[in-house]
Amino acid sequence: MSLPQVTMSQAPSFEAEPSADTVVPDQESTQEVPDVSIETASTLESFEQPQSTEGTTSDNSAKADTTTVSEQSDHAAGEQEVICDQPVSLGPDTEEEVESSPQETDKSWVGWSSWGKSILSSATSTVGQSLSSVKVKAGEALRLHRTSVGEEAQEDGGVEGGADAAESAHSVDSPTSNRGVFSSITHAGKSVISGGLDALEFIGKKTMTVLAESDPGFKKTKILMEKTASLSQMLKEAKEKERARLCNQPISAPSPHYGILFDDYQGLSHLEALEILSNESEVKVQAFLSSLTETEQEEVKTELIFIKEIFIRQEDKEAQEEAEVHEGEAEVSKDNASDSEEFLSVLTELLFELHVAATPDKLNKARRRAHDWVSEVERPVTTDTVGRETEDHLNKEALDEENKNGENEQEKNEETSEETKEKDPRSVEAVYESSVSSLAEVTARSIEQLHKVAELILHGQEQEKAARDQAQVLTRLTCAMCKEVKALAKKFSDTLLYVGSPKKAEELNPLVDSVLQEGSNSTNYIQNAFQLLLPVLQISHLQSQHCHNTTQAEGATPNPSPAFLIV
Amino acid sequence: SAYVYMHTNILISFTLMQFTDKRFQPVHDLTIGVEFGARMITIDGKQIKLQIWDTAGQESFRSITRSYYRGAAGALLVYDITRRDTFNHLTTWLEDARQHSNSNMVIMLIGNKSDLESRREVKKEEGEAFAREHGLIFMETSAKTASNVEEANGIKIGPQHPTPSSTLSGSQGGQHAGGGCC
Repeated sequence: MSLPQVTMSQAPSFEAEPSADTVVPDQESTQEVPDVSIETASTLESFEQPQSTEGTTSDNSAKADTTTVSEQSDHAAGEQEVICDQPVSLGPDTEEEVESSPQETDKSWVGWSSWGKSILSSATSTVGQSLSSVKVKAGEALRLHRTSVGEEAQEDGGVEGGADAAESAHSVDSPTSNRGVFSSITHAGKSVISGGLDALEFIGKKTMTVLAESDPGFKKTKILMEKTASLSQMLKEAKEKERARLCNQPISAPSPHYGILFDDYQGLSHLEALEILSNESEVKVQAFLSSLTETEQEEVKTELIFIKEIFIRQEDKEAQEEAEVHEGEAEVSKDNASDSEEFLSVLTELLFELHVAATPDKLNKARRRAHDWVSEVERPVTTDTVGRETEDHLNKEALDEENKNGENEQEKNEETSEETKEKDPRSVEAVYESSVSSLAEVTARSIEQLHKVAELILHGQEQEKAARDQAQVLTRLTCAMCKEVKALAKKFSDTLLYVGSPKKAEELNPLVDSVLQEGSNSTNYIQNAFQLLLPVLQISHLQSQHCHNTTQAEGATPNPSPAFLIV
Repeated sequence: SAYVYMHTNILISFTLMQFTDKRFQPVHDLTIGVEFGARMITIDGKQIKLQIWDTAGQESFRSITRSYYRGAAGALLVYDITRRDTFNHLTTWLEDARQHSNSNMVIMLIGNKSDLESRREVKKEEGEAFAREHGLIFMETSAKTASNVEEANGIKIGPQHPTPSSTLSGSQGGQHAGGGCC
């Protein structure tokens, strides 16, 4: 309520500005206003009150006249220059306005906090405090400006009372002094407004957290709210928040944030691009369906649902497999040695089966890097004295890794060890950092892989493979990726536990949990990306199976709707 | 969300980075659909991230790359001055960009490899004429000698877009030159 008022008072200053520009020398004088006014203020005090109403009226007329009068009165003003230099005009008017506004601000802020009390009883204690502090701040700012304005006003009175002859000059001068006054008010207004906005934001945040704390159900709604937005949007926001937070706390411990790293590896962009393709395909599918007769529609729908079911079944299968993995965790770790080759061959095979010309190079490289640093960390160094008991076990593991990876790997390891030696790759922090970074990288590459597959499917040379078969292969591909990410997360957390063995559990556990958490997040992202492929496969299916004519027609005259419907 | 003031020098230095980077990539895959690059720049003390969508130059990917134009803050249309075919394809790419982007997208025409004067197939005047005809900003650059980076300094090439992270589509006229861009 008070805020609009303050801004209102700001408005005339813009009106006054153009005319003020015509009186160049006076502009400078306004900058001296405070000094001059303080000197004259005490002597002219008595004039202040009686003159105030007059001041208002003359000001209004002055404002209206300035543009026309200014040129003529310039001559008249010349003689009066000494007096003119002193700021006159609008003072009383604005004084009233400004004087009343703090009161109103007070009222309104009180109103706010009482409103807050009635609705958010638990939130008020903290919010109230901030409100009152904002109130005080705003009050101070306004009072400060009011006093200076008031002093100007006193002068104004003095000038007017002392010399009638100054009237013409007065009207010339008023715009400039208006300007001074207004600019100060504007300044005050700005600080009040920004303060007010800060307070509102603060209230909002507090309320959210308070509500979330007291009402666990709200958390669910929050998650639901988020789920409706696209995943890339969500991740983007999370990343930006984190970035902002990191900027504000430069001294904070080096805690790598998954979201930022994921974006650095271009995972976010690939996800966004995949979403674009997915949405566009969805629109095309719907457009195609609506162009059909009802009986045709039913027929096509069953086909589309058949593909969809493959995608849904995948989720169930995943859940099952997860349970199995938990049961046979021991087996998984035994498999580790052969795992690395297997993943690549499975990946290559599946991509080949898809009949799309995508190679898993990048994903495989990212994955290899992840395994490399782990084996590097776990490989005992002569001078290093990390847990003698585990050393043997690790020796063996490291040997396994070496045998498996061959000479090239060894070379690479040496390179990386040279690079990272200064950082001490065996510290818990370094291992944690590498873990999160690797998970982000492998996930980004997995999503890139799915994005590439989507592009190649849409690129659709000859449809060599039925969409339903592709759906099945893609399902397995996604499973393989998720499995790999899970295995990596497990491996990382084991490594963390190993290097952190001298540390206390309280210190270590949060990091281990965090790695496992990011691992499960990663699989979620991959699965989400996989689900985005459904409409892509559906439209590919429609284009290959139904009416080659229509698709050709579409190609000739690009349907503008898909591109512009996506928000 | 920061306002993005796009200066040509940023764009150019970006293409520089892109191209030089590619040169140093031992294996340069043919772009499928779109590849991404990003660069942090500082303008007026603000850190701004330029997200570059490097779309495939192959004709067969056109229908896919079309999807990506939307939401882009600007586009770099790059041709190779030593290959006339890349210049000849510009019209179709420009049409695509115009048709599938928002109307105020800034498009910049860049003739790359200006250092290879001896192998030049497209005259600078031709590029200028094309740009004038279609209302584009034109410039010849060399990633190798970094020419025109200074010259372009400070020309604001577009309205300021209030985009959370600005997206640029860099379309390479014709096919991607595999490996050696410079």
